[in-house]
Amino acid sequence: MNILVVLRACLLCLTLCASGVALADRPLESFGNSTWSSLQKELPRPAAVVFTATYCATCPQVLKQLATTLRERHLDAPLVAVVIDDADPATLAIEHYALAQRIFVFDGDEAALRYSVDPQWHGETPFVALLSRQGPAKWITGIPSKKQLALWLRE
Amino acid sequence: MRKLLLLLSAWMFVATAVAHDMVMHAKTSLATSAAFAPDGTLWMIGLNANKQLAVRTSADDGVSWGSERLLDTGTDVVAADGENRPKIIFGPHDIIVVTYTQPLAKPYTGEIRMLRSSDGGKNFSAPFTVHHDRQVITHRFESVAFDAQGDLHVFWIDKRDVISGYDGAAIYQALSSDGGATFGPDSKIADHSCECCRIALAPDRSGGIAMLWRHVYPGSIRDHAFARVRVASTDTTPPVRATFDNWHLDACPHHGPGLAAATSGGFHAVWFGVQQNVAGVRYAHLDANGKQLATPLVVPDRGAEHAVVAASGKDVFVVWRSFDGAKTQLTVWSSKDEGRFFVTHVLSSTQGESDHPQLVQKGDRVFAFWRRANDVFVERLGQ
Repeated sequence: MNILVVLRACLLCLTLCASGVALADRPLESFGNSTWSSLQKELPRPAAVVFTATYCATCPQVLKQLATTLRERHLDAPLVAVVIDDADPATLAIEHYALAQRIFVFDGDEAALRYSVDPQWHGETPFVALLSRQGPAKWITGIPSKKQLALWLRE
Repeated sequence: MRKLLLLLSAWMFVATAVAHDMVMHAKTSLATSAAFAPDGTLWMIGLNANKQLAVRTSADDGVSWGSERLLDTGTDVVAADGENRPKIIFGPHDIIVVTYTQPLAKPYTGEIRMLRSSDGGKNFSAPFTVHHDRQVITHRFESVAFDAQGDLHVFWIDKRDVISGYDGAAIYQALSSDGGATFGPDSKIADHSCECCRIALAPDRSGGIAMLWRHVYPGSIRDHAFARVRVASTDTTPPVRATFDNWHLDACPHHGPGLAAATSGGFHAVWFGVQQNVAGVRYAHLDANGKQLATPLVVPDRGAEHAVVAASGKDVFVVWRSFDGAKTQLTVWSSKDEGRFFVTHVLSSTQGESDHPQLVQKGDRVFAFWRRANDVFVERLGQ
């Protein structure tokens, strides 16, 4: 066996294991009708909540962006992922979900749960709630700009 | 070294399995398609509680349904989420075609798979991949139709051309002149489609297929493009922009359009978009080249989503679902003058989960089809 191939395989295994462990050391939490209301009260501020879907190709970029921003600023702010579709747990054992400190999965009628978050939300993802130190959530559909991130962390 | 690899693999397996055990109960996917067979039987196809692909048939337009019949998909996993769902269509000479996307190991990748029957559904082939490209990339969100000559067209969203800086994905097509037994080469229709929205198809007067899809225009504007594929051909008219909401979005709308042939020519189109910060489902009558014939109308429901359209004679039906805070309603917007004036009528509602609505046609009769958590609602429209 080529040593380079073996080393690459080891690296891949370690990466995947890290993702698996990252998921395994926290439960996938249920997101019900009152969860968003509770999260807004419970989460330490600042915090970011990313509503995502396993079929959303643009979502990983946002989780990576937010995790990088928090790491660069040495902030221990919660980064939460909420998966809105009928997620197969196997599809959550991938790298970008491991960046979230808590992972929720919609548990119930998707339309009703979206409405509980924002009645005007039609299911576009990523749908990002930036919770600053005070005040209501700032909603962004898509990738937050640098200016929006700076404002979120400054307020 | 091999022992180390085995150890690491086992660790990964256990870690993932633990994560699996912690998830809540798995839901049944409601993503279903329906179509009438030439003999008038209504078929629906979707996943059962065990995530197996299954069909059921109704001989009385959806009043009652026969027992579930599983289709053998081998080891395939069948995608049935968002606007990605299994489909069934009927062609000439007792040919039935079933398609679905099979997710691959990497996220957001897949292959377009097909089962084929040449005896009216008594037997189906083993699943096979439609496209020639076998890269582990996106081949998802297929749409499928027979043209007037009986040739089979399969369209899908494809990422083989994506390089750094490329917006969205591409629309590809494969053509079969023998009812799906064999396919010609993969053929590109357009660059820069949206990545996660269904492709709407309608028969074109020339015998070909008309298409409407969500496109990524410069500046990440998510409007819709229109093109026509000639009969028995992969020749396509140059895509034209058919909607002008100017919705700037660096995200996935998960909201594809609907399209139906208009009796007097052109097409009826519906789509979701945000125009000047107003979200809504809009309707427009397009000419044969995809140009809007009048200012689009907004359906009278701010919560409207996943709308579909069908036409029969001068009748036009736009159907959507919306959640009002307590229940999900199925609403039809009916026109008797080819889309100039509409009246609104609530067809049904549910307090449980529901699929996106569909419209199915049996000759000149149009039916609303709506799968819900515990039943299937089917109602003839325009009576």
